[in-house]
Amino acid sequence: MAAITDLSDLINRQSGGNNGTPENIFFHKVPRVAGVAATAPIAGRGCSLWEYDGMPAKGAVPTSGAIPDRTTQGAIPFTAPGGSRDKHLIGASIAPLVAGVFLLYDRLFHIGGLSGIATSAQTVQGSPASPALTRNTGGEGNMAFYEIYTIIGTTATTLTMTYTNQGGTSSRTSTINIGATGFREVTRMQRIPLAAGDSGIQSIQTVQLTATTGTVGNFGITIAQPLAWIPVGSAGTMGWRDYTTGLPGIPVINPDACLSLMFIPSAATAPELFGSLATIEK
Amino acid sequence: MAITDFDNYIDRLKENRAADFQMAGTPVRPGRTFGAFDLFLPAPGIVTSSVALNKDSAQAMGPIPAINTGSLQLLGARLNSSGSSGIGVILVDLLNISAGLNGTVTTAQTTNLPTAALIRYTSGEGVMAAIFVESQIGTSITTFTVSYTNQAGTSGRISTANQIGGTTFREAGVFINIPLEGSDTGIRSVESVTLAASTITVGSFGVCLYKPLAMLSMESFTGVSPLDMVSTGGVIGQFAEINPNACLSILTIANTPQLVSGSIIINEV
Repeated sequence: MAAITDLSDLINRQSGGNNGTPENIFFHKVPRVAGVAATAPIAGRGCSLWEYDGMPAKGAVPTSGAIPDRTTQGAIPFTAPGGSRDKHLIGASIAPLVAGVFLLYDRLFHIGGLSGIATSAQTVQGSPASPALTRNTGGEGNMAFYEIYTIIGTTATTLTMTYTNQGGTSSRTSTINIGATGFREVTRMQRIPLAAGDSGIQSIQTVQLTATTGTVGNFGITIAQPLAWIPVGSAGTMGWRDYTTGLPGIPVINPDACLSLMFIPSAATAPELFGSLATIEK
Repeated sequence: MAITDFDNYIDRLKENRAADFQMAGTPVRPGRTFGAFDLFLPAPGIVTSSVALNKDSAQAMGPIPAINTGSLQLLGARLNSSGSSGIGVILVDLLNISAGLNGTVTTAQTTNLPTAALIRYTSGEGVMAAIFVESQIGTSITTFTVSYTNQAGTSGRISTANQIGGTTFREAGVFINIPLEGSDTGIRSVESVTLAASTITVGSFGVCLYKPLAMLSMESFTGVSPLDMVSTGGVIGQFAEINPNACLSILTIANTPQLVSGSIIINEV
C-alpha cells in the first residue's frame, strides 16, 4: 500500500493530478423501508440503515450466508481504483435530521433467516467457514452484530456466539442479550462483544439462544469492518470528519467494499440524511 | 490539470475568484433539506414550466469564472449565516426544474414532464432528483412515487414511496429527495409523479434534478465560516470539479431558521 507522501501530494491528487482520480460520492436515505415508515430506533442503540430507502436503494434481507460487495444493492456505490492503486477515504460527512453517531463500515458478511425461538445452535458460517471472508480476512478489527429483520419475541434471552478470532483460534465464545423491548424490533443492530483479549473475528461458526424469545421473526448476523465514525451533534447540522487532519488518518477502502451505515441516534426518531465521502487513489 | 502542491494552492486562492450569492429571506422550515436558491436575491420567481438551468439562470450564484484549457475547481468558501447555530450546505449543480404539479391530483401527473434533457452529466450517473415545493401544498400527509429513466437509459423505473404533504413536507422551498429503485445509481429524467392521496391543497410543486458537488459545514457560533480545502476542515468534496456552465447553487439543512450568504471560491486549475 502506497501512503500519501505529504500535504502537497494530497492536494495534487485531490485536484486530479498524478492519477489521483478524486471521487466524491454522495448518498441520501429517507426514513422508510420499502416505502413504509421505518420503525423508530431507540436512543443510544444501534440502528441498521441497510434496509432504508434512498440513493442507494434498500439492501435485501439475506436469506443465507453471503459476501456482499460494492455491486450489491444497498451498498453505497463507488468506482474501484485502477492501476493497482488504493482508494483512500479523505473525508466523510452526513447531515441528518436526527443527531447521533454514524458508523461507515464495510459489510464483510451477512446472513438472515435465523429464528427467535430455536434454542439449538444455528449455523452462521459453520466450520470450515462457508462462505469465508474475502476482505480483511485476518479478522483484526472486525465486529459482529445481530440485526433484526422481522420482529422477534418479547422474552429476553441470551445469544451465544461461537467464532474464530483474529489469531485463528476457533471455538471462542461471547454473549449478548436479545429479545424483549429494544432488542427485538426491525432494524435493531446490536454489537456482539468479543471474548476477553480478542480484537477481531475471522469467522463465526454458530449462534445459539439460551431460551426462546417467543416469536420466530427473522434475525441475522453481520460481520463488519468499521471505517469511520461520524458524529453529528445537533439535528439539522452537518457532521464531518476530515481524515487529512483528524484521526484515524486516511483509511483505505477495499476495492470491493460493501459500504454501509449504522446509526446510533440521540433521539428515538428514524433518520433522514444526506451524506458524502471524498476519496482519492494512490 | 491539477494543483501541483500547497504553494500552488495558495497562489490560486490569492487570485480570489468567487461566485457570490445572498438570500432575501429565511427558510421557514428548519430541520429539512431546503432549496435555498428559492430565496436567492434577486428572486428567481416561481417556475411554471420545464427549464434546463445553467450559469445564467436566476437560481445560480455567480459569476462563474471563465476558463481556458483547465478545469474549474472548488478552492474554498466564505459563508455567513443570520444565526449562530449549525447549517449544512450542499453545493450543487442544478440541472433542471419542472414545475406546475398539483397537490390534490391522484392520477399520474405529467405536466411539464418529462424533465428537460440533461445538458450536463447527460447519462444521469450520480444525478439525484427531488420533489421541490414551489408554493405551499396541503396539510394532509400522503406519499408519492415517480416514474423515471435511470442512468443506463432504462425507462419505467419507479421510486419507492416517500412522504409529501403535512408539516415540513409542504412549505415553499422544501426539497424532498426521491429514493431510487433497485441498484440504480442516477436519474436521467423523470416522466411522471403520482400522489397516493390528495394533500388537500393544490399549491404547486415540481421535480428538480441536481448533481451534488460538495458539502460544507457552518458551525461557528459567530455565524461566519471561512473554509479552505486543507486546513479548516468542514468541506467534504475538496477540489470538486465544477462544470463551466454549472448552475452553481446550494441546498441547506439547518436546525433553526437562518439565511446564508457568501461566496464560493473557485478557479481554473
